[in-house]
Amino acid sequence: MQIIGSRLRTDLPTIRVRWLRGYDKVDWSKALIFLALGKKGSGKSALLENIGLRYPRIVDLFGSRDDEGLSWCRDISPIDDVLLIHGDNVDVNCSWDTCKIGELTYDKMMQYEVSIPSYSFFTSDLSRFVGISQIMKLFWDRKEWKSPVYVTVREASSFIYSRIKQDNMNMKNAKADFIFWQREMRHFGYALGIDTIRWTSIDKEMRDLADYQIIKKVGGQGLPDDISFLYKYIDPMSMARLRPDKFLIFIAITAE
Amino acid sequence: MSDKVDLLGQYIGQVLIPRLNRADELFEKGKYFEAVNKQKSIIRALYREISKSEEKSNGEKILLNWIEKIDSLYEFSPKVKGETNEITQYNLKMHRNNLAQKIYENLDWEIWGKLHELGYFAGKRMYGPKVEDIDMEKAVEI
Repeated sequence: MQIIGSRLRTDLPTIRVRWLRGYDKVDWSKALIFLALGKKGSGKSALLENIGLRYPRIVDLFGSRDDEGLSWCRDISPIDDVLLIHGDNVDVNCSWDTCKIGELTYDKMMQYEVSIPSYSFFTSDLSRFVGISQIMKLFWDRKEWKSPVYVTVREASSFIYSRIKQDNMNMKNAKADFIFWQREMRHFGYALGIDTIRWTSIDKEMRDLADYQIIKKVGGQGLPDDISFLYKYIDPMSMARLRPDKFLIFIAITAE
Repeated sequence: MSDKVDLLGQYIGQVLIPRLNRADELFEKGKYFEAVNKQKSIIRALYREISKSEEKSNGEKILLNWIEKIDSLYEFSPKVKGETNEITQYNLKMHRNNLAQKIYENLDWEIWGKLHELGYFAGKRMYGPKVEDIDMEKAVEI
């Protein structure tokens, strides 16, 4: 019986895949990158949360303004061990453990199964972006690792925007910074779950870094050009209207 | 669409696609080694004969990479009868087949990606099945 954090592997919602080409058993002991593309309401975040449950520690780093990161606190969530991270001049009164961003350490985060710096726990956009940046710096404190920590970034283009706003970068530098971050995180034992509804604004290089690309409902926008050959495997109209519980997953392969 | 693209389209449609279909059939039957060899002629045609422009040198490099991979399978070919025992011959063949399967799958992406690059899919309906028509009984937990 496999135990992940406080969860039993057998109790987790299953993720089933019909491999049309090849066969791949995901190795959850590796720091993998999952990138989900799809329209809003297509179930990207729910799937990335489900994937995250396979990892013993989760940091819900970046979410939308509606505090979707707090979904880990729902009654149906199999996780009880949550740390809410808030701004230094914000008080949060709740039954969950909380921590000021100024007092947060890497070790403190690792005492909990999920750490969430949610939008409402900061006084402004900027203070939240600064807080997230501080957490990102703490990530580098992980000098050795045995099992990966799962980090979620919900809406990659907003995340890039946050970097532009907080560090006064231009778009090119912010994207380069994000690519660098993705690449380096793996070496420090962080698995990443990234989603985006604006896949045309995500560079191919960012997508290529993903170990698994997950395509949800793409609507009329369709697949990015470089992967539209996937239509050979799935009819475009049915890709455009995928139900939230369905997805297409593929592993990027190069000739090298 | 220019004449050049039309000719290309015709070549792909009448020569390469039937070969691809034949390779797919072989693959479905588990004849991975034979399927890969069918692919070899396709990838060669795609990169050597069609890509004659500025992409050529890069294309040549990719092509050589694939050709080398496919040719390396011959190292695992069963030897002439009598040289090795039957079990060894069988093992060699199975090993070669497993390697060929991996190459086939990777090369399949490469070929269809290249066909897409060449604009072959523009206005064509070379699409896969609808999601609801995919047999999910063979689905496995990841």
